[in-house]
Amino acid sequence: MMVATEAYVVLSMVLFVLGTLGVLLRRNAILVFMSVELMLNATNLALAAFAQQWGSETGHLFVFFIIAVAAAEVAVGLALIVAIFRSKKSINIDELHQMEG
Amino acid sequence: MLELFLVVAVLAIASALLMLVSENAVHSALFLIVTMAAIAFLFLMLNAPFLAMIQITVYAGAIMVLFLFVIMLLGAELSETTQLFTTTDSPRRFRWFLPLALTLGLSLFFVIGLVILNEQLDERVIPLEAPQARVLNVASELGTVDVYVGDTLLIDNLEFAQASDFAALTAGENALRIVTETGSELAATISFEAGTASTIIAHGSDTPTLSVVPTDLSTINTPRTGRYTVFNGTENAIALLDVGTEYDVNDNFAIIPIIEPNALSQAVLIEDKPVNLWLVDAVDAENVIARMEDYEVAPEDTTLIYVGNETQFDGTTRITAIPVSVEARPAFGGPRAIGYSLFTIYLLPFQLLALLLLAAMVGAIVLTHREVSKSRARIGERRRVSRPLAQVIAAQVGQESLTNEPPQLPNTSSPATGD
Amino acid sequence: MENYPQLVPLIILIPAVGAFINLMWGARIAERGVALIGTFASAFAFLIAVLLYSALSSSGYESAIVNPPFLDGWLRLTGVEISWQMRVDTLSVTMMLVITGVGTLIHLYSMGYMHGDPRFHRFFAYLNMFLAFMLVLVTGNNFLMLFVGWEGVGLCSFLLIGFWFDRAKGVGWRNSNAARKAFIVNRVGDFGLMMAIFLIFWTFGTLDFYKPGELAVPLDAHAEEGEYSEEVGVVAEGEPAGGEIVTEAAAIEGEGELLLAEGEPEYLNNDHIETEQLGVFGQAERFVEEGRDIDFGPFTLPIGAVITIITLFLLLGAAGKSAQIPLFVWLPDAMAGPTPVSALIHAATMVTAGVYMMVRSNVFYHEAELTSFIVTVVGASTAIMAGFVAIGQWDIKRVLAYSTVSQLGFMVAAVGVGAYGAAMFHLVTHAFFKALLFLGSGSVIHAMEHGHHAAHGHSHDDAHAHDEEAHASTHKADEEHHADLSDEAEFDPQDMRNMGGLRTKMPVTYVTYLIGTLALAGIFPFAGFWSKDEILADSWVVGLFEGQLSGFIALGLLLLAAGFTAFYMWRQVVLVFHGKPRTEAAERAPESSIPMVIPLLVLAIASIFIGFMNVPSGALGLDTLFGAHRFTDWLSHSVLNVHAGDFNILVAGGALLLAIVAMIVANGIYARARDTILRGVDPLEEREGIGNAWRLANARLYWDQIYFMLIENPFNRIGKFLADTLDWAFWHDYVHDTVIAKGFRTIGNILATPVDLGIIDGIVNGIGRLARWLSSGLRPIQTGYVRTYAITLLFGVVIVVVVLLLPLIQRG
Repeated sequence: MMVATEAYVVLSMVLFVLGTLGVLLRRNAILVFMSVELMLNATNLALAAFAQQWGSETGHLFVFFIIAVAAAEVAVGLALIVAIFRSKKSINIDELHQMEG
Repeated sequence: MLELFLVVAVLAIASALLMLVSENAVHSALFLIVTMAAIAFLFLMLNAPFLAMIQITVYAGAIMVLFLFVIMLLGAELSETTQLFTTTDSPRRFRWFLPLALTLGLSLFFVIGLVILNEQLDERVIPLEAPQARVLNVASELGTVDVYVGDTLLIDNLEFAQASDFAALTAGENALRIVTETGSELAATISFEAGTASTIIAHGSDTPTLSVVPTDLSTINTPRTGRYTVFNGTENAIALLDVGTEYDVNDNFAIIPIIEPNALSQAVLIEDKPVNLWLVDAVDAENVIARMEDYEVAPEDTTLIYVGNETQFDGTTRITAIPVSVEARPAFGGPRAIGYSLFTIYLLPFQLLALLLLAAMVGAIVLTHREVSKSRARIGERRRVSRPLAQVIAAQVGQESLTNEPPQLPNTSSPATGD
Repeated sequence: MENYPQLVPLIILIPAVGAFINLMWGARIAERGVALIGTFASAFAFLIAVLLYSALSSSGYESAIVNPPFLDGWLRLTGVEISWQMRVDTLSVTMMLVITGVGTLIHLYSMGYMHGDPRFHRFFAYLNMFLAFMLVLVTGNNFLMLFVGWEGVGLCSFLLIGFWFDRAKGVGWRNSNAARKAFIVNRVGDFGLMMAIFLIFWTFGTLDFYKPGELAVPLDAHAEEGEYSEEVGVVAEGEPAGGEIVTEAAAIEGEGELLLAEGEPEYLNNDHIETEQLGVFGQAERFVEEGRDIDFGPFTLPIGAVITIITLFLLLGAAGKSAQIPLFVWLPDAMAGPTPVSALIHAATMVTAGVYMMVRSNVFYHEAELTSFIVTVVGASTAIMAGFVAIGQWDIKRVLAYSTVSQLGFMVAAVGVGAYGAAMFHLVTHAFFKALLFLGSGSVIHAMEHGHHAAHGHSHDDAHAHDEEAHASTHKADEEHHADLSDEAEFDPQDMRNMGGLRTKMPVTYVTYLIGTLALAGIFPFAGFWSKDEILADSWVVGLFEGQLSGFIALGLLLLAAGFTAFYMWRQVVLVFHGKPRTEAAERAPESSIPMVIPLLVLAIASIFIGFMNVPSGALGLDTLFGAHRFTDWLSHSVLNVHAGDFNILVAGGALLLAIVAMIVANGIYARARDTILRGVDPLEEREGIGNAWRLANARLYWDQIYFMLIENPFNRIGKFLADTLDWAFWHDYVHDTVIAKGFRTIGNILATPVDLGIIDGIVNGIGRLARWLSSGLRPIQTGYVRTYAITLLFGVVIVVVVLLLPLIQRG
């Protein structure tokens, strides 16, 4: 007895939307980042569910790639946050608007 | 099963929500770890053990540790002091922001949810793969052969007792030609169905004939076992025995009791340990046709053992057994399956990914590298070029500064005055 | 060993590469790296010169002509082919050894002397470039290559004299004027050289000194005289074929085959070669033998007259480069350059190029008696004139400069009396002891500057930081008082009146300087004694035994000049080193640094011993110890008309006595004249009768003033007249103004106002305004807040998703 793919997809949707809200609403840059990770995880879940449904490993491979790219992204992103914190003494994204036109 | 899923799903959503609303960034990170662990569990339920493992190690392990480390390093756990979602302390007011964000998020959720509920995802049509076939050349008369499909060369220089690799064919009728070195041909029209795998055996010591047998390449789910089938190319029915210890007659065990002439046995699974396999006459078990002593079973492989006559150099014939192995399809979602794909069709993306990781590493170092003030060689203080000519002349003639007026013509001239 | 002459292109290439590196990237290389590149390039060239020397010695002094790769067939015109051929023979190798040897030492010295100069790298680049051009000059096998080198060294001389052209307070102005003066005066000489080259080409149809396969010195030339036959027995001229060295026979038979590896030469002379196949000198000899007339189109001249004209033009060239009357005026001013430059270029090497050129052309001079006489007169009178002027100078370097002019006069006079070997000998010895003296004077000047800084409250370390200023105040063209200069500049570290008593302060410099002085004054057994004596002895022989007037003129004037030499040199030694310090700067002068001292020591040792390489026969038994006239023998393999002189006890003793007497007199006058000198007055000046003569010497015989009156002033007046009256007042500029300028301005106005301002600027400004208007509308979108960007993105995502999923929703 297998759980229906739809269930996984719905769960993935919920997590994705939660992540989106985190990105939009939190002001701590690290929290924003973690929300992005949550969104990526939600996507991974959906991909794995579809891979199971279609019996193809391609979905798994995409999950693998996403995890690896996320690792790279976290490395660079956190380095950016550290660099910003050094110069601004803050990681509140609302205080960072030097690019204002 | 569904109950388990529901429990885990609720756990994931709850911890994600808690992550979203925690004031303390460390708590958020810990809740996110719970969510990730839950997702890893779901991966296991989705037949993806490898993904589950890297989810735990890379995400919950490496990445989240990095997050926690940076949070603690910067002391940023409470950077949003009071209100989480309102932005009253922001330099600009985003009053409209919270409702808009919620609306958009929920609309996204509902749009997709609606589709999922309406759509029958089970009504899918999985396209079948093209039929695959290989050729096993065990007809000693033929020698080395080339195999054509129509006029296309399919297999080149297939020697005796060799099996070719599986090649994709088109579903339906295929005109197959086996051409020997002397130019004689063995032709047959064979029909294949999509999604199947077949072995074409060219056998027969006197008159070569073609037999097409199906080959099961599906995943062997029992670990450390190999799948074996026997094709009987002799005139008599034979049997495959596991004789156990050679000196004890009592532990003999018929793995396949009877194999009719020119027929394929059913598949059996043999455990991966040294075995003594005998092929004997099905009627007279004392008549041993071939012995495979201390035979190493090929685990996770599908092996076809051909038993048939072989013409010797001196013209006599004898019966030989020729085993041909091919890898069975690896288990879905396992490391082997993913590794196999990574190193074949996804090799280039994999390499690019490695490069990306390298670039990210360098980037992280560059971004966080502190400028160390080095005492440089004082090259810059040396004058690299001569001073402007005007300065030089000024220095030469001893004047402190030259006038800025351009050189004037003598007064005798009467320059035409422009407006 | 026999392939060593192949190396000769490298001797030019390596300094050239060094110059290129330092010029291009010197500013980015540390000072030490720049100095190492320059010095090593020079040292490497010296190594090659030594290799060439050993090759020549071991191959029986066989001259070789090398065609470097890539430059084969340098100039190819119809009927003319001038190849970039390089000649390796005893004469050119002598010059190479002197140039690279002294050059290397001076590079080393410059490392210390130029330390801290802002254009240190450029200085070394120029020095290396000079070496490269000087080596082109001496290695060239034709007059055109000689000319290329000649002009190249002139350029380097110009650059280096004016090296401190940017000094403040008018000093730079004087420096660059000195450089211009040198350049322009040299142009006059170059005019002579060019005319000579044209005439040579017109007369002989080639510019090559010697063709491949030709013998510069026929093997039977000296054998007939019975002098050197045992030594010149195995000479065979080499010939290159595309960079290959082969012997003469192969050259005649065809390329590549080595028919005559060693042993017997096939030919003893050039009789088998047709006249047209000979180089200029070989042809000149044949022409003179035949008494041929040269057809110049409208008129015809006998060969003797042509050679006389050629040699006179060559003399003009040599007078320019080697600072002879009347073109010597640039050399004293050239002391404005840094002291290493004075030592290398204006004492040891470049100024001797004229002597080298005349020795190289000895065949011409041998045939031209009239020119030889003029050469003698010019050289001898230059020698005595400069010697006289040197007595009246206060500037330490200017004394040496006039001394150089005087010694060059010795060499030229030696050429005039046909003593080519003696001229070259004096050239070599002079290169060493005059370089030594210049470097010693540089050391003194350097020390005086440091002493001055130390005396005026600067700490010693500070002195380095102020080097630039110090140099600025030091190296001025004029040695006289500079009342117009500031306090810092008033002190002149080159003025000998400010010195005195440096013997104890700078012992090494003193000892080496003393050795140089004794060598220059011609005191036995130092180098100058032998070379000067050989010139005098040869003049004696020419005058007394051959009955030529030039011999007597040379002997008389040169003896007197030698006396002057001893006098002014001892005057200098006494003023600089003896007695008590006359200023605080001299009191506190330190000894120079190691890189500056080492070259002094090496050159001092050379100045003692180098004279022994050409001891005349019968010289008190020294000839048996060192071998008699070995240098002359060495030169005789490439210079046709050398002849070794015998030791003449009368001349040698007389000159030595004269020099010693002059030194004693100088000592008597100056050693006890501290008070007089402190007043800034020379003791001679106060004596009745001699006073006027001294003032004449001090005023440098009014040469510069005469030149100003005779040449500069009229030239300026004519120029002013041409410019103001002819050019400006008459139609030339009037037409320019009224027709061209006015018309141009009208068209310009039309184009400027309606076309440019109206249309073109309108379009450009309109585009700018449009962009500004658009951007001002779009700017608020760019809030700078991450969240607004993120929500915009989400908005877009929702729209895309809805659009994508719309068909599915409708179906459901």
